[in-house]
Amino acid sequence: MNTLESAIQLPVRIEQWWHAQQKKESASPVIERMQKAYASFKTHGFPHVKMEDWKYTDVRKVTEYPYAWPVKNEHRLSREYFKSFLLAGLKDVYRLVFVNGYLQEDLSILPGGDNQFTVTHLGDDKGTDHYEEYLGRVANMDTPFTALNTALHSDGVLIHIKKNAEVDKPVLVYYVALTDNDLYLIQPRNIVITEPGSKVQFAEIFVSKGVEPSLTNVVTEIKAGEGSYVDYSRIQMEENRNFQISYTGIEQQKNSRIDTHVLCLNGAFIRNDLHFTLQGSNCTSIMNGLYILDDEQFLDNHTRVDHAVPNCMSDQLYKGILNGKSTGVFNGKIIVHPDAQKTNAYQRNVNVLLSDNATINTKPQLEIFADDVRCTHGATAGFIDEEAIFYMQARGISKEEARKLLMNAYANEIVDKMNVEALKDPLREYIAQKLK
Amino acid sequence: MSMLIINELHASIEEREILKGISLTVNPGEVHAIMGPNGSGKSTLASVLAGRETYEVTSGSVAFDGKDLLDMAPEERAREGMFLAFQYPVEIPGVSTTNFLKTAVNEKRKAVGLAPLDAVQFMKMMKEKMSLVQIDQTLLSRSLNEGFSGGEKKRNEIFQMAMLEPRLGILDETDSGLDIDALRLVANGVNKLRNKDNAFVVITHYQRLLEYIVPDFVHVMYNGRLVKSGGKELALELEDKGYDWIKEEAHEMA
Ligand SMILES: Nc1ncnc2c1ncn2[C@@H]1O[C@H](COP(=O)(O)OP(=O)(O)OP(=O)(O)O)[C@@H](O)[C@H]1O
Ligand SMILES: [Mg+2]
Repeated sequence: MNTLESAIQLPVRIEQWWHAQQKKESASPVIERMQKAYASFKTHGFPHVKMEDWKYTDVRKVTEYPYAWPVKNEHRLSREYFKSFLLAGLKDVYRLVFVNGYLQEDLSILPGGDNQFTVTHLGDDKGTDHYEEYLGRVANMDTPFTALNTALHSDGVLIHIKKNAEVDKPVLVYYVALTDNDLYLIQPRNIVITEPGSKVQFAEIFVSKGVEPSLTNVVTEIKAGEGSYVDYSRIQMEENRNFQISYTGIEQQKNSRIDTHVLCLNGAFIRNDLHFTLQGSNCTSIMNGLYILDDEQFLDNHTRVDHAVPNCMSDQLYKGILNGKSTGVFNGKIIVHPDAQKTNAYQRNVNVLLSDNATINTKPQLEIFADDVRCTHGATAGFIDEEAIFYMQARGISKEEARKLLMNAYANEIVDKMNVEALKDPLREYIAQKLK
Repeated sequence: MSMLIINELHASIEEREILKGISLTVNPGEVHAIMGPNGSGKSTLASVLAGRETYEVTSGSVAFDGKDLLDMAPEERAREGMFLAFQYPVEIPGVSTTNFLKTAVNEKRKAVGLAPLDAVQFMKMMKEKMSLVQIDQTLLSRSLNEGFSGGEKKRNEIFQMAMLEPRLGILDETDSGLDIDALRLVANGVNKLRNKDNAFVVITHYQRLLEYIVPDFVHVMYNGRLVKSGGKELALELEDKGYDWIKEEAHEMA
């Protein structure tokens, strides 16, 4: 990378990439959608700390790098190298591996000829019905990063499950950032459609390797049909030089259930937005979250549930452990709209600070416009329970060991709630390692 | 050789002196009871012996099997054979009693150069000790003390003591909160653990427990001092007359 090139600001680079892409595409409804998104991004630019939703999250820390746009097939992983990543060697799963935003086909494990569901990728499907029909249907266009992703994304997973079908194995999607040669802006886009009565488990796993930073700006849209059940995990464990901004938009039709498990286990800077819109009654929305921060790591979890119809239930438990000079932000919005009577909404955010230099900003935000509802919320932040430590010491367990036992148990409450069994043990091990 | 020699022990918390010169010697095979009014310092003594850091020992010494007890971290004391059954057992969310005890037992074994117990050996030991205090398996698989009833917590303390086989067991009001049957069970458990090599210090408010666990000595603590000692009949006398005469005697002495 020469100095002249690196002096060019990110928005200018983005403009160049955008024009290069425009030259290749011919007019279509989806192109129009992208153009609108790009126009929106151009008008608003990156969010800044004066905006309420970005108050604690200064994105300049991650946007002021001279990123390059990754090129398809420029970086490839050998099978052995891929396996060296955590959670990569799991058996009895479907698998897609995206390297710097592009699918590396030879690492895929995909279902056979069964027509009940398709697990494929957008790159394959660009211009086809699914892509056209669903791109940008769920994701909220208001946020500049989402707009940017809609306008300009590389590739991503597309899962479509037909009526009453059940995907027989969990779908694990790996996003590998390789930054040995350059720094990259990586923009995957994922779409998951479950038709009525169908069922799927899928997980997004983010890992990285390299010497340069990267910024992954990922958007996932989940459209859950009537009575369908989606188990969704997002596991973030990039290295300490990688940044991530994510938006997951979920739209639920009646009687559907979505379990989400957001585990932020590593990475220098993470902002997650998780947004549920409940459009049909009797929906269940589960939000489990775990974050373990160390050094100068920064994490912001924004969640939002829009209860728009009656008789739905949302249940949230986000747990944090903050060490070193790390900073955490939790903002959990639950909006119960006037029609959403008999809503049950539970929310809890708990934090343990392991160091005097760690900070947590937590803000539960309940906005209730219906009168017949049951909502509870609570947020706590505290230091480790010294009484518990002494109790364990009095039984012969060292202070260090006691601290580890306590913290692992605390974190594993979230891991225990996960449903993809194959992920649990390796995650427990990883967590134990990080809590050492 | 004496097991525990406490000599003129003074301890305070936040500048306030709570223990004001305690001396007590415990020999192997003995059971000592400590009684005394609320707030006199009984739990403080137990905590200081177990190594709680919130208390500052300002003077005096404690020898445990000839070693300087006050020089040891709480976990070292436990590994040397000290056990405190807490007046208020602490809840440990997410850690089952079983898991907790496996760690504790193996840490102790490691300290004396023994190999850790494997799962089968450990379960065998658990079963054996469970029958001693008749504690339920389901209780042991739950998070330690979390949501346990008062009595369950106390019984669990004695179960832990049975598992760790201490040289010196300090029972801080283990009898309070126990129903009559549980009291008998716990007392029987302790009696079965008694032998010529170990010793117990039993802190209690009630004569009743001492009918089951018969002490060799009874001491009365008042205002941070052991102001009176005697045999088991002293407990009966206290039950009968209360503490006023002790307090008066103590004030006359001062
Ligand atoms: N952490 C503490 N901070 C302040 N004061 C304390 C603390 N711990 C104990 N004390 C004080 O020390 C004194 C002795 O307390 P301790 O708990 O040892 O009494 P005790 O004899 O065990 O009483 P009880 O029979 O009620 O259990 C009390 O006045 C108590 O308030
Ligand atoms: Mg007490």
